[in-house]
Amino acid sequence: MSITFNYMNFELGVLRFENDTFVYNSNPQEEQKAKIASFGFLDYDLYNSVNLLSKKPFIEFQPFLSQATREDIAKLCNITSKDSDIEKLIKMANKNIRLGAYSLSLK
Amino acid sequence: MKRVILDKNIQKINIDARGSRPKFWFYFKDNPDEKWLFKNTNRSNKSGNQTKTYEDIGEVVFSRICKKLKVDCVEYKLATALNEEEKIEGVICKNYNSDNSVEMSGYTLLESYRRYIYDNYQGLQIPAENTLENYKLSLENLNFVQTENKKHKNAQSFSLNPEKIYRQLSRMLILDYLCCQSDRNWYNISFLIDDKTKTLEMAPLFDNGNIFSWNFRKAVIEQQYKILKRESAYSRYIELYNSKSMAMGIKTPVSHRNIDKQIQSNNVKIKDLPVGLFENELAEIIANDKMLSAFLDECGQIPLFIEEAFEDIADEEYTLLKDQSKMLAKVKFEHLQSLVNKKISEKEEDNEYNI
Repeated sequence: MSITFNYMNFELGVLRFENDTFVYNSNPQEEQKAKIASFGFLDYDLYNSVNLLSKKPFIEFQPFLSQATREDIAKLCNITSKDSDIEKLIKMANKNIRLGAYSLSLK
Repeated sequence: MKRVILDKNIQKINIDARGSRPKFWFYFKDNPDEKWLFKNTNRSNKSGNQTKTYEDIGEVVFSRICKKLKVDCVEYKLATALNEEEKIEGVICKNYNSDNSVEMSGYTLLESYRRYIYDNYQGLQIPAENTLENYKLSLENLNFVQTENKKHKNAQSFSLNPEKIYRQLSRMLILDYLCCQSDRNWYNISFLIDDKTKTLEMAPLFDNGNIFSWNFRKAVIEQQYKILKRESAYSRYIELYNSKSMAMGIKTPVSHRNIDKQIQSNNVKIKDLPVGLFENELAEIIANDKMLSAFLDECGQIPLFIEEAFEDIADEEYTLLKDQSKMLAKVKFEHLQSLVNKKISEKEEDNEYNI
């Protein structure tokens, strides 16, 4: 399953989870459009990523994970304390959770 | 003040994931064009004394104080959201960014400055601090960069008035100090870039409910009031502050958050900065700026504004909040003003000596 990371209506890139590893691939054209639309103020460091690997979630996704236990979000997304980070992100993407101009969606 | 009841008269749009309190966007069915935000101001959706806070009253009272002082602030109303299972108390406010201007948090602004310095000054690291001084430097740098961008006709360029925004931040800081604001973290400060005028402005103040310890249980507020009432002197305030710093409001210009551990609570790191250091810095800033000095003079009326703010919040339960906050605001105002006067006298003495 893949998660799209969005800024406003721009699909910045796609996160996958394979072999216990987070894999991120950018959408460079959308990244550029988002950069222009935001006047350069993106909280984002994953530009031009091609199969970028990490054992931990990329920092861009941390604000979502830190909100996963908030009562209303956990309830809406059916997140439990047993869920792994990727499970939390998938469940939040399934409900298109928005954090300001940033949001997650399922691909 | 009657609570606005949110029931079948509203249509929920979506959850807003920002902040620690549950919140959602909605519109009233009789006016679908206007978006509102509901924020649960208690610690949990479950009702009961253990979860209740007075942050809702804090939001309303702070916004009314701001209105009197002509400080741009989101206007909050008390509200109760009803659904099949729950009755949730909180506040509502209109969307302050209805034209979808680009919005950035204080964190984003400071981080862009940090990155600029790192990239352009051979990896120089500047402290990740949510302080007025850092905002000042960030805004001045941003103004420089944007002026360069305009020269090169960069489509992304925009205008800003660093002095105006700095003064707005300073006024916020004075109010936060006098009202014992304890949650001005860098996600509770925001900036907007108007798409039409291409101008960066400070957003109206929001999430101001953690004032006068009203985010704590009633027993804590009662205890504070009892002690302060015996002797409402500043030394008594400091004694309380040192014993229960979290409950007594800010210690720093704006509370810190560790840039490397973004999800860590912002409250952990504010304990060690001595209150005297912060107050002296604030007094220095005010003493050097006649407009801020005049603003501080106006703030002397905050106890009166609090009295007025509570006029239609007549519930007996809130008398404690009114009396406690008036006392705290008075004690802190008198202390800050004496520090400012001392700084001004010192400055005048220096000037005479130089002549």
